[in-house]
Parts: sequence; C-alpha cells; structure tokens
Amino acid sequence: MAAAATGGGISADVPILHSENLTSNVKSIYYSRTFLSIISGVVAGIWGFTGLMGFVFYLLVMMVASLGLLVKAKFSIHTYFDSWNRILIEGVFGGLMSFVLFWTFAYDIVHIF
Amino acid sequence: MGIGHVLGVLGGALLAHAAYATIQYRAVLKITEEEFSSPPMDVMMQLLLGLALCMWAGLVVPAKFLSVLPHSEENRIVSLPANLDFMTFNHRGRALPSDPDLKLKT
Amino acid sequence: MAEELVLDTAIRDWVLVPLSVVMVLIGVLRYFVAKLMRSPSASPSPDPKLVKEGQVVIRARNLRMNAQYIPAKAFKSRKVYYTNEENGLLHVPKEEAQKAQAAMFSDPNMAMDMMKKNLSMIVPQTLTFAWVNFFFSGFVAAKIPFPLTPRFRGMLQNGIDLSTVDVSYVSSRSWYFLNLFGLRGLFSLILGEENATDDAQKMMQMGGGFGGNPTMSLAAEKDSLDIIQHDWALPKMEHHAEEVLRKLLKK
Repeated sequence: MAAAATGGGISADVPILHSENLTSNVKSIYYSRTFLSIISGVVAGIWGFTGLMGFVFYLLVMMVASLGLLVKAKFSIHTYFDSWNRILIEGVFGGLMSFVLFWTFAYDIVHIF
Repeated sequence: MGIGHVLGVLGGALLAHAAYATIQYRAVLKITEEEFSSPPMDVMMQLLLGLALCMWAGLVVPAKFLSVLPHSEENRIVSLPANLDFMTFNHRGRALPSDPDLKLKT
Repeated sequence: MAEELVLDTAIRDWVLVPLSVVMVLIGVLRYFVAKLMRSPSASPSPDPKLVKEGQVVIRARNLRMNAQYIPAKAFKSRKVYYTNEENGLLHVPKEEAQKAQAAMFSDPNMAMDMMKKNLSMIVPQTLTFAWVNFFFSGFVAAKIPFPLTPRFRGMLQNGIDLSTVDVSYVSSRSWYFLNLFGLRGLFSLILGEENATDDAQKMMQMGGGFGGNPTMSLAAEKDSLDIIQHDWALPKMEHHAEEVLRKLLKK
C-alpha cells in the first residue's frame, strides 16, 4: 500500500515510462503500418483506383488500422504509450512511399497492359 | 508460425488470385470492346476479404504491446539473482510495512 | 494527354516484373553480403583504450539521461568528475585529440572497413543500374495512377525523350529509381526492422564512421553534459519518505 502511494505520488510529478517497452511498442506499430501500407497499395492497384481516390483509400485503411491498434492496446492507450499520436499518426507518412510504389506496381500489372 | 502468419499468407494468396481474375476480366473486356469501370463483384469481395485477413495478420503478427508503466504487473522483476549467496534479508526494508497484495508472477 | 498508350503485355512480363523482383532480390543479397563482410572484423579483440573510452561515454550518457532523478548537488559533483579541465574523464587535451585523429586516418584497418562498407553499397547499385540501362533502356514500363504536373517529366521519364507522352507514364529507368526508394518498407519487413538497407541511412553511417572516432565522441558528450540544465524531478521525495515513516511510527 505504501509502495503504491509513493508510486502514485511520483508519477504525478513526472511521468516515468519504461522506455524499452515503449520502443518495442512503437516498433510493433511501425511493422503493422508498413505491412498494411504495402497490402493496401496492392488492393488499391487491383481495384483500379486512380488519382485522389487512392490516397483517400490509403487514409481510410490507416484509420481502420488505428482502430485495430486501439483494440490491440485494449483501449488503454496510456498503459502502452505516452501519447495518442503514437497510435494515430506514427508511421502513416513513412508508409506512404511503399503504398505509392505497390499501388503503381499492382495497377500497372493489372490495368494498363 | 502462428495463426497470424497463416492468415497473412491466405490473404496474400487471395489478393494474388484477385489480381489474376482482374487481368482475365480485362482481357475479356478488350475482346468484347467494353469500357472498364470497376472489377467484377466477386473480385471485389476477394479484395475486401484479403484486405481484412491481411489487416488481421498485420495487427496480430508484430510483437505484443508491453506496458510502459513501471508499476504494472508485467514489469515486475520476478527472476531471482543467479547467486543467492549475496542476498540479504536483514535490512531496513523489514521495518517498512509489507504489501499483502504483492505477489510474484509465475 | 488525351491519348492512352497501348502497351504490350510482354513489357509487363519481361520488364516491369523482372525489374522489381531483381531489385528485391538484390536488396536481400546486399544485406547478407554486408553481414558476411561485417562479422569477421568484429572478432579480433578491440583495443582496450577504445573500449574504455566507449564505456566512459556510455556512463556519461546515462548520467545525462537520468539527471533529473538526482539532487542538484549530486549532479554537479558528477558533472565535475566527468568534465573538469584537468583530469575529468571526458576531457581530452588538444594535442592528443589531433594525434588521435591523425592516427585514425593512417590506420589501414579503419580505411579497409570503410572501403568494405562502401563497396557493399556502391557495387550492387552500379551493377543494377548498368544492367537496367543495358537491357531495359527506352521502355515505357509503367504508369502511375495519379496525375502529376509536367515538372516531374525529367524525374519519371528518364531515358525517353518524348514530350507528347503524358507525364504519368514512367520509363523503365525511372521505375528503377522508384523501386530504389520505395522498397525500403518491404526490406524493413523482410530483413528485420533495424536492417533496412536504406541508402540514406547507410550514407549517415558512413559519415558517422568518419566523425565517430572515440575522442570526438568524448568531446561531443562533454559538450552536451556541459549545456544540460539540471532540473530535479523529485523535490517532494523527502516528504513522501517522511509520510511513510510517520505512518510507521503511528502503528
């Protein structure tokens, strides 16, 4: 009980985080996002999206992915991350290049020939 | 190789099949000289299913999230030191109130 | 831009797909070759002085990262221990620093290492580029599914000089470049997170190899330790302790 009380007192002053676990969590998010950006690129290409539609599709998939990550974190962000941004935007723009490449690849294979 | 990998491979195969089906469909359209508007219904279903499977795989396969809070159950150090000779029990911790809730996780 | 190009399916089967597959395979190959080249150099026991200096840097970094958890006085004394001008651990006399730098440049081992790193990056890249140039020059290989401004013509239609073709068509050589930059994500998936064969990152590492000699990192660590603002995070700690002890006494 005393330990818990002191612990609460400290974390009220300054947030103490387990930084190795945080890095591992963020890595896990990057992995999910990269994989999903590749897969969503392939899907967008086969579907035949062009122009703005493809980017909208990408954002949509990323939003669903954020939702999935939220479920994976059992809806308690602060147990696993230091801020909401980690789940919502981490890795979204990093995956954009992969998305565009695989979108182009799948679109070309399926549609332009 | 867990269930996640299997699902991911399955989703990838579905996507590949959908791509192949769309290529065939376009070839048929080229012969009948119709305009392409969107892939046929079953291809779309395959795409959505493949995307869902891959999303499941992409969320399940990477490492589980670990708690970052220093006081959570998961982060408790449970392993004993390798050399028990240096453990001391006669220290000021004895005077502090013991926490009955504190339990070692196995 | 109105006209649609009709491309032969043979281009897909014999240019687009092989090019991408080869790019991926070469990336994987490069990773393993780099790994093979790296491993023997790690085995001979390193210079004890270098190890010592590295450990000092790590200790100083730990102090810097956890500075807010110790009182101001404790931090100050530790800081003096590391950074004072006479015998601080991080302090390097000027002449010695220059000597170390000269020694590093003349050290054949170091140059060899850098050569290896360089080679594993440049050789496959040059070879693939030459291969693409030789076999696949002048194809319209791909079409990006979104419109771009004519500014991108030079970037995307490298190797075909036709100003009437719509900008979104990509020549095979430019497809090579797109692959070069876009496959990073795939590599990070299949080769593991930290092994992404990212060229920019490699470049950084190479730069780090130059400037990363131990005396330099000692000086850098000293500077950052000097400018750190100490801000004790636990001023209420003693109150907490007092509370706990009072509770004990009351029992």
